[in-house]
Amino acid sequence: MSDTTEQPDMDRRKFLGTTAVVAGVTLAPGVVLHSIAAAEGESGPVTDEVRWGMLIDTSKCADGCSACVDACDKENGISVHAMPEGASPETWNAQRPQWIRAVKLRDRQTGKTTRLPLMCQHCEFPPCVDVCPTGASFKRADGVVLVDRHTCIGCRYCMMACPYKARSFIHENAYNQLAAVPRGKGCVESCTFCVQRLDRGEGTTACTEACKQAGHGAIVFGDLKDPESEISKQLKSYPSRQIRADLELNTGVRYSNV
Amino acid sequence: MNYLSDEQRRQTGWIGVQKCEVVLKRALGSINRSVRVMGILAAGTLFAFASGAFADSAVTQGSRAAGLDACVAPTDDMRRNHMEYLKHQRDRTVHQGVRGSKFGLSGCVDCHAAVESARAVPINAEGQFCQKCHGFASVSIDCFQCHRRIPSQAASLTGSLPAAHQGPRMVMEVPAPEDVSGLRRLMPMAQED
Repeated sequence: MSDTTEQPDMDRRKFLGTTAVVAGVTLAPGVVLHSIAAAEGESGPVTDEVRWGMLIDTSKCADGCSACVDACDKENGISVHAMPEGASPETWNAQRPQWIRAVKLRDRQTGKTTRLPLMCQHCEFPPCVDVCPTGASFKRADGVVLVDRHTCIGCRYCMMACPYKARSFIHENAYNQLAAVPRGKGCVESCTFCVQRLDRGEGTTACTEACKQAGHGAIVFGDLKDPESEISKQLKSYPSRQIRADLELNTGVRYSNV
Repeated sequence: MNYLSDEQRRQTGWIGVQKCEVVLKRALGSINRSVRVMGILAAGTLFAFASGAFADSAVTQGSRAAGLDACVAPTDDMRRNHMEYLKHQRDRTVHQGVRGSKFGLSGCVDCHAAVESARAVPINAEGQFCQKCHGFASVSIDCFQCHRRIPSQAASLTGSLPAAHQGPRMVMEVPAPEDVSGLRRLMPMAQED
C-alpha cells in the first residue's frame, strides 16, 4: 500500500474506455441501439445541442411592473390553490408557490437600488439535483432543470440546497390545473423555462414575451450554444454576471447592470 | 359475482376474464396434456362468453370517445396495457420533452370525460370513466391530484376560476430597504463594507 499514488492509472482508464466503445459498437445492432421511432405528430427528444438561457438587463426592469410574474402565473396556472378554511392569510401568503420573485436590492453605501426578477437559474451543476434523494430533481439534456413529480416525495431538500430560493412547495390541493402544467399538493416545483413552449418549438418563455409587450424588453431568452442567437451576441458584447458566480454552478440565467 | 349489479358485471367483465386466464395459466403449468387441452377449451369458452358480455361499451355516454370506433389502440390492448403506455409516455415527456404522443394522459381526459349540461365532469368523479373501473378493481388512481381532470378545451365550459382560487398578486419585494442581511448570502456585491 506504500506505493499508491494520488493519480489513478490513466493507461488502464484509456484501455477500459476503448474497450467499452468497441463493445458498444459491436453489441449494438439489435441490442443496444433500440430506439423508439417517433410517431406521427410527436416532437422528438430534446438534445444537448441546445442550452437554454436567459439574460436579464436589470436597468430595464421597471419599478412597480409585474408583467413577468403575472404572465408566468397565467402560463403555468400557479394560482390554482384555495386557501383552506381557518388558515391564517399571513401563512398562506408566505407559503404561496412563486416561480418568479421580483427582488429589490439596495446598496447601503450608495443608496442605489436595483430591481430584478429572480427565478430558477437553471444551473449547469444544479445543487438541487445533487441532493435529491429520489432522482426527481433532474436536468434535461437541453439544460432545463425540472422536478419529476412522479418521483418527488416532497422532502424539500432541494429547497434547502438552492442558493437562489427558487423552489416552492405546494401545501394545498390544486384544482383546475392547466393540461400542459400538472401541479399538485406535496411536490416541489420551480420555473421550468416554460418547457411546454420549448417543446412546441416556440423557443421563448411567457415572461420574456410579457416583458417585451410591456415595452421594457429586459429579458432575452435563447440558446447559449448557438453563437448566432440574440442572447449569445449580447453576452459577447456586454458585461453580465451570474448571481453567486463564486459557487461555480454556471447558471443559465445571467444578469447585466447588477 | 352475485354481489355485483348487472351493470357492473357487464362493464367489468374483462377483469374477470383476465383473472381466469392467469389462474388457468398457473394451473396449466403442472397438469398433463389432455387436461391442458380441456383447460384451453374451457378458457376459450369463458373468453367467448365474456367478450359477448363486454360487447356493450364501458365508454361513458356523452363523451367524445362514445362516438369513436376505437381508442388510440385496439380496445382489448388499451384495457390491458393502458397503464404501461401512460407510464412510458410520462417518462418520455418529462425527461425527454417528447410531446404530442398518442398515449398522453390529457388525450384520455379530452376524449373520455363526460359533459353534463354544458359542464365537463371530472374524469375521476364517482361513476366516471376512470374511477368506475379503478374503483371496482381497487386500484387507486393518483394521476388527477396533479393532472387536469377535465378536457383542456372545457375551460370555457366551467367558467373562470372561482374567486377563492385567485390569490393576491405574487410580487414580493425583498428585502426591506434597510435589511440586506438575507441578500448577503445571495449577492455578495450588495454588501456594505
